[in-house]
Amino acid sequence: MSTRNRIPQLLEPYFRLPPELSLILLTGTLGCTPTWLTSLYVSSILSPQQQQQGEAYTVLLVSWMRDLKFWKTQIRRTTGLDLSKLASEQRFHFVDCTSTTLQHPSTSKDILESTVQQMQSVLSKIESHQPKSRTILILDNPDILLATASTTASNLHQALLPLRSRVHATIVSLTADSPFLAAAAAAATEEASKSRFSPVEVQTSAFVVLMAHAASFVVGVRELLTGAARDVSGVVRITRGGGAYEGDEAGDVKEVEALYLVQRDGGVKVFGRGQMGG
Amino acid sequence: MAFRKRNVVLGRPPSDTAPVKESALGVKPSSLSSHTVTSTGTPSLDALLGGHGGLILGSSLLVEESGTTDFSGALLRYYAAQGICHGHTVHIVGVGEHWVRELPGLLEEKHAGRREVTASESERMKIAWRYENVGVVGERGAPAAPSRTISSPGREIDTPFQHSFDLSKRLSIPSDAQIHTLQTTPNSTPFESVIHHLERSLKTSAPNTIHRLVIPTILSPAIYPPHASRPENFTRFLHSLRALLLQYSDKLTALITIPLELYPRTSGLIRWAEHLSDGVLELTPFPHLMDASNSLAESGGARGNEDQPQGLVHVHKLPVLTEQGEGGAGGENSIGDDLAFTVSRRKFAIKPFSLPPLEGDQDAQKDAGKLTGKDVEF
Repeated sequence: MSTRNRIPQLLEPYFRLPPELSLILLTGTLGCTPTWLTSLYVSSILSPQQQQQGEAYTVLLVSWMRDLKFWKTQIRRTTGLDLSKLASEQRFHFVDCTSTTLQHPSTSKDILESTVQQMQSVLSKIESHQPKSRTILILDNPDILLATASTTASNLHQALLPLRSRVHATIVSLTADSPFLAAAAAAATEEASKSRFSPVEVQTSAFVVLMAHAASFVVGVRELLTGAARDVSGVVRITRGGGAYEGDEAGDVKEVEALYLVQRDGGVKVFGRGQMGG
Repeated sequence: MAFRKRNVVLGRPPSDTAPVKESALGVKPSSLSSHTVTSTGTPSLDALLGGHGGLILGSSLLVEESGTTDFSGALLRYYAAQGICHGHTVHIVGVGEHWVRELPGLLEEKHAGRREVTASESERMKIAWRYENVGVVGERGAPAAPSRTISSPGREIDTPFQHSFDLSKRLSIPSDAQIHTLQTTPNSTPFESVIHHLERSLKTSAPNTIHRLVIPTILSPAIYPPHASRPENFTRFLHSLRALLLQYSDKLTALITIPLELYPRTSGLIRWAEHLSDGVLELTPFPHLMDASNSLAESGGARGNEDQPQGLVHVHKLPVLTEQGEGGAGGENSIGDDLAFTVSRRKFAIKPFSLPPLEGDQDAQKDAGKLTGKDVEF
């Protein structure tokens, strides 16, 4: 297996193994998806170096937007990690939630319940097979449940809490476009205009804010304000989340903003403003 | 048997026979990746989609349009007509049989070929030689495959991958064409029957049939009941469609148009629709089209009558490339480019947009042109 280290130097401190019960929030926008960050997290957790150093780590990836085929090719081309092999070694598990609405077509309310049950059963399987291994739960776009009006932000948050308590750490990726966050921003400034926003906007922004308050740090990617450029994919910004102030372990997160470029071959360059990518 | 090639296994047919999957008509391998692409029926749109040369199978395209015009409808008709020409199964949602009868017919090839070639030839003579390699829309910074997709339309017409259509003609639909027109049900879940039909059709069809889903002006109050725009209907439908696209990623493509007047891009609902689509394109027609185009023609911003830009095109998201996190960067990526579209009888062309020179400048130029030897006094 390839041992090349694909994590950009500037971001390396944020790819150390997260402390126990911590939460990392990844946010993206329409033109800048954080899938490359998710791939880097999966590969950094499952990399051979990591496994030699300490206890074994297991990844449970739950995706509402992309299927296993996508993640396999994406992680292989960005990091050279073979997910099929890791899956057969029981170190990588995947729960496919892309077809939840297809299977529950009518206005059923049990989409969230069935999904959570599915995740619980996979977690039980991991715990019985590898009692010593530490599991990292990665949730890719659980806010789809809010977009399809299957549940509310507080219900989703409550359903995730028991799952989070069963795993070592959780990484959540959400969308944070300005139409979604406008509701939260307006609620903070002027109470009266709240009714302008649709329930979907309110629920989506509420969930992002909830997660940001619980996270030890937030990694956000967004488009360049000045428009698209040929040598910049977008801006990556790392800020402390609300959880950083609770414990003393994650309190030393350094806040960074930099530009990044995802190349055609999947390699990522991260560099400061005004510097050349390299 | 020393003359037998040693690395060929005995008793096995030669391995270079074409795979069976390729027998589907109207698909070709992407020029960029291992994906398979199909034509949208609009060559300049095919060239825009991230350098793949077409719409990748298993992906959907959302075309948004502001204002009360229906330019995106032309794109949709080309897409449907192209599917019928290739013998694809075409599913059309929300509109009746009459929509199918009004699809544009094929352009007569001899006529088209001659006209297009002369146009491109004359262009080559006019434009300075150093701009010749600049290429067309969407080929920004691409070293490979120069002038392949739309810069040589005369040659492209002969190949069956893309056809040329004429909006003033009507397509003669072959009797064996697989066209399904689906009506949304007026009950509380208007999209459910569409998904059921699509799923059944995909499941039962032969492995190498290609399906196209065509949804004109989704959420338009003329066709859809008001509760269709509720998230439990609309976004759920798009998520189910996405699941089908993932499940049948070698069979299905979809093109959806949406009017932005009632549901602006700043609303959460539309943003979710954009997230759930693989590609997002926005058309912004110029207001007061006639005045604007006349003054543009006068000032020499456009060459002929057919090339007047009629509106702007913004690409917000590209299939596959955006999912991989590439953002606006990279060659052949048209996110953030200034593009304009021109709809004429024969084509829907998307080109780089540039403002014409100012009117004042033109007067100055005219005066300069009048200057003759007589006026110069020593």
